[in-house]
Amino acid sequence: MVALYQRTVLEKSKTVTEEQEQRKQPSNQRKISKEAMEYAIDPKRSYWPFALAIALFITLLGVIVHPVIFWIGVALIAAAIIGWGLERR
Amino acid sequence: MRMPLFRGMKRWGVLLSTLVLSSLLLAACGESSPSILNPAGPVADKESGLFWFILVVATIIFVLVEGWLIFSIVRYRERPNEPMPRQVHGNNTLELAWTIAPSIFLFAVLIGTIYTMFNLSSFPGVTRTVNVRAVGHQWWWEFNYLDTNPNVVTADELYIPVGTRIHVELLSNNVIHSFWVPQLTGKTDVVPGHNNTKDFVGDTVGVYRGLCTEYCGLQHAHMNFFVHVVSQDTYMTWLSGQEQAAAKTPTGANALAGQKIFLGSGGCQGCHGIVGVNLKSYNDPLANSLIGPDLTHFGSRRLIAGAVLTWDPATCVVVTGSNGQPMIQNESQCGLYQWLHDPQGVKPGNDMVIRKLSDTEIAQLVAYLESLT
Amino acid sequence: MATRTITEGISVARRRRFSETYIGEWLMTTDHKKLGIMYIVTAFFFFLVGGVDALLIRTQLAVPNGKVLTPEIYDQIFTMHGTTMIFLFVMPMLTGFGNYVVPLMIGARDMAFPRMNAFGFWVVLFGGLFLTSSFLFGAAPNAGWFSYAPLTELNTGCGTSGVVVCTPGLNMDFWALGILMLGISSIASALNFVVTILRLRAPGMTVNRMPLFTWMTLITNFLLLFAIPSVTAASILLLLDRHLGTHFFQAGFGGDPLLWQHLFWSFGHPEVYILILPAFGMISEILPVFSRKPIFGYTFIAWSGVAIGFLSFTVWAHHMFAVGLPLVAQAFFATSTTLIAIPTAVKIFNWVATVTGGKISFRPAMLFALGFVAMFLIGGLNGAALAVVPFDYQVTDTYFVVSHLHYVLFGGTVFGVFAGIYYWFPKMTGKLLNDRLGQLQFWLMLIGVNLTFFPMHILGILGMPRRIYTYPGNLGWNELNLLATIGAFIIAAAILVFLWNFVITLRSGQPSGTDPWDAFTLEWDTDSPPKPYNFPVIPIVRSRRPFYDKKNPEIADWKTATH
Repeated sequence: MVALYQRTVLEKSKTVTEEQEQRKQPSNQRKISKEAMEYAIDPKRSYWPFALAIALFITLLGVIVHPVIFWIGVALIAAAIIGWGLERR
Repeated sequence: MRMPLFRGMKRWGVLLSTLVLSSLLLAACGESSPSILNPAGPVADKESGLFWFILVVATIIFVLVEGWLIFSIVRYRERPNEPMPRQVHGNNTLELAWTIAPSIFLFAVLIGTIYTMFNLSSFPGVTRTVNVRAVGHQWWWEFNYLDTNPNVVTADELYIPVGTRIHVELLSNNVIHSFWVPQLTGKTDVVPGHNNTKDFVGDTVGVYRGLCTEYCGLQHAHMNFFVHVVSQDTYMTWLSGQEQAAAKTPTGANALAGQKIFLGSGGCQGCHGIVGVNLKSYNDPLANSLIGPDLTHFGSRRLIAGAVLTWDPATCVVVTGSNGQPMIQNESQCGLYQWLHDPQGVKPGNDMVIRKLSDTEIAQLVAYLESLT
Repeated sequence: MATRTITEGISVARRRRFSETYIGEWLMTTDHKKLGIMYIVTAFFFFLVGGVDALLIRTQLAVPNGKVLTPEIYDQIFTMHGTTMIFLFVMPMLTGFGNYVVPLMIGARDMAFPRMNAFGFWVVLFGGLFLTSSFLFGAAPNAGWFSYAPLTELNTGCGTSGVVVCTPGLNMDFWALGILMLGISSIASALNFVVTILRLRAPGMTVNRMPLFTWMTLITNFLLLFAIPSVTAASILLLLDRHLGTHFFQAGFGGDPLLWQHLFWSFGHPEVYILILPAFGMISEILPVFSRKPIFGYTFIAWSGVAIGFLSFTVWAHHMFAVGLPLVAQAFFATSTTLIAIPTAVKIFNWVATVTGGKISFRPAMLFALGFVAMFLIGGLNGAALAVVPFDYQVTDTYFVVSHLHYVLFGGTVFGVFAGIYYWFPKMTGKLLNDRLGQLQFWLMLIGVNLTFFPMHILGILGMPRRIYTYPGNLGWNELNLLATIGAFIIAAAILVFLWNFVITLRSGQPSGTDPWDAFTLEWDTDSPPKPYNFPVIPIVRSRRPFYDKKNPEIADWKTATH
């Protein structure tokens, strides 16, 4: 968790420096397009939050429907957490 | 973006004051309400006194602060070509003042609150005590008079003598209820597993409505009771009357037929007890398994099923119909008829689930119940 | 097909990824602005659901012996009204605004944990749909929004002799599971907010310089972190009682119904501050902008918020004055409740002082902010009345309390939310909501709220308990109930006016530009709507009104003020 936000914070300060460097350079020497720059700054999309939310929903549904569904949900939660953790950002 | 401001403010002022005034006027029409501002006992009296004090204070604060707000809105609304106002960030003296002043005032109120709390159940000059146990059922109140032996058991109506400390034990074996008689005392919850008690005195003879005030299921709305504050003599007479068992055999053919229905197979005795008929006494162990109210003196009561209906003999006259069978003269006026005819329709979800009774049977039962004075 | 430009301007054609489709964009987003809008839209939908519940209640209670709803349905409706409004409307709405506005206000590019942000939203959506779907099964929760045990227990073992039926059916399971889900979402987003606000502020923005909306959001999220576990634990214990044969809340088996109440209100009381503090923050942003002067007493407002946060954990049993606690305990809670009134009063004084001496413009955002102060004052006064314990013995669990809670939650939070909507809508969409319709909505709502809830003070005093599905016609309650119902429909009309305003503005609203209100805080120094990266350059902050400073360099706060 700590490593994660350190990375996020560090990424942000790196981005600021990049931008300030970019503004110092004359525009006709631009190497990276504005669009790519914007995409680099835009937080990357991910489907793991949605997946984990569905897994949680299934787990809690299992409490009232059937214990098997509960345990399936627990397995899905574990899978989603692992996937989330291993995602390249 | 200029609003027609004065019209707006005046409009608001007029509306608000009409609202307040009309509400107060309407409140005055609540004379038949179980109002906390109509106290009939010292506890409710102290509590209503607190209300008037709070009302005065709250109104003063409201007028001052709201007045300040409205004044500022009117006085400092933007006008064309006005310069930027002074950029004031704060004022420490003012902050200190309006932190300390309310604190002092609030603490004075708190001291008064705590003093009143600890003295609520002290009744100087009251020497006698009557001990009652109020049991909350779903959805009616059972009252046991603990000073008699065996305890007199009744339901829906609590008779108490005037000028006497009433010590109430609050019991429930199902869910949480709350015992509240606005004109006599604030409420105390009835919590399963807890032995809550409350004390109050009725100092004015009269009849006062009591209500269950903790959501307890489907028919929480119909779990009311009446408190009859009566003179000491009336109370003693009533109590000794309640101690008598019901007649083994009632007089009158209709009443006799009614008792037969009561005692018949699948009859009322499955849930209700009548001392002298299916109960040997009030503390007959059989009573513990009966889920309905005790009916021994139902004839002298006027409430049915948590006061969802009322009845009295004048409106429940048993006559002989054109077919030679007994019937109720004016069925729509007779609360007891309506109850016996369709208890689930009157109070959906309550525990009285019975077979359909014919009009004849109902008339006979009414005759019998009327005889249980 | 999308193209992505890489180095040297060479384009490569390839299939569009799912994340670049319209649905994919919303399903997979971690952008705080998109998520903020998703939270707000979801919350507003549930506001309408809860509002329909309210209209049904008021229709049933308009006349004595009403036959509009059976008691079974009524009990589900009033329970879901409370549950929906609190957990599915107010909390997600305030989270949504926090999500959208706070990172912009503190000069950050996003929240600290963007994926966890998205997770929090999806759980709210699924939890809300799950809870509301209970109606389709005819088994919506029906034991009140605070679900007192042992009414919430299943059939077996209810009460000391195990005789009576309590709440058979799935109703309370829906409730407990829904609350669990929503609690998990709240904790996730609370962690996110706390870390974001503490670690991602722009350079120069000390806590002493951050906007009050950020302050209030921070305090709110600390409260969530410490309060939600209590209700989560209570819900789990309830599920265990219902399904695994434990007896936590059942007397006669060693348990205690009051345990539920203590656990619940240990959450429930901080919860009500969670519901109001962000609205306090919104008002503290809006009043200064439309008075053209800074907030009066910034430090006092901020630290009152902190005081309220701490004290909110010490007052919970003022919801339990009538349950039979020892008198000394009741006196303790009366004292703590009195204490918590003081910082709240200080805030109100500061807000009015902000407006005094200003140059007030009556845009709808300001109307709602002023209405908030006026209505919240009433709610605060009748709340302080409830702290007078013997008086509370009379009016607790009656319509007096219903009046109090609606003055603070509707007259307070909802007015604050609409103020926030009118204020930040241009930033989110680049369009201005119509002023005339906004004024109409404001007046209808003000009249409606007072007409609905003021008579309830009197109803409580006249003896009308809460949560009754009907009442007899001979108790003097009839006219006041009818008045309240009329007021409720006036509120409904106001909401319709708003919806109309929303629709026509989206279609053809006046463009707002980046700074329609000439505001003071950083979120206005961006495009409307802001670019995905928020700020091209992270700003450096030198005072509490960084954007004001940028626009007025001669009279900037850091030159004139002492902080």
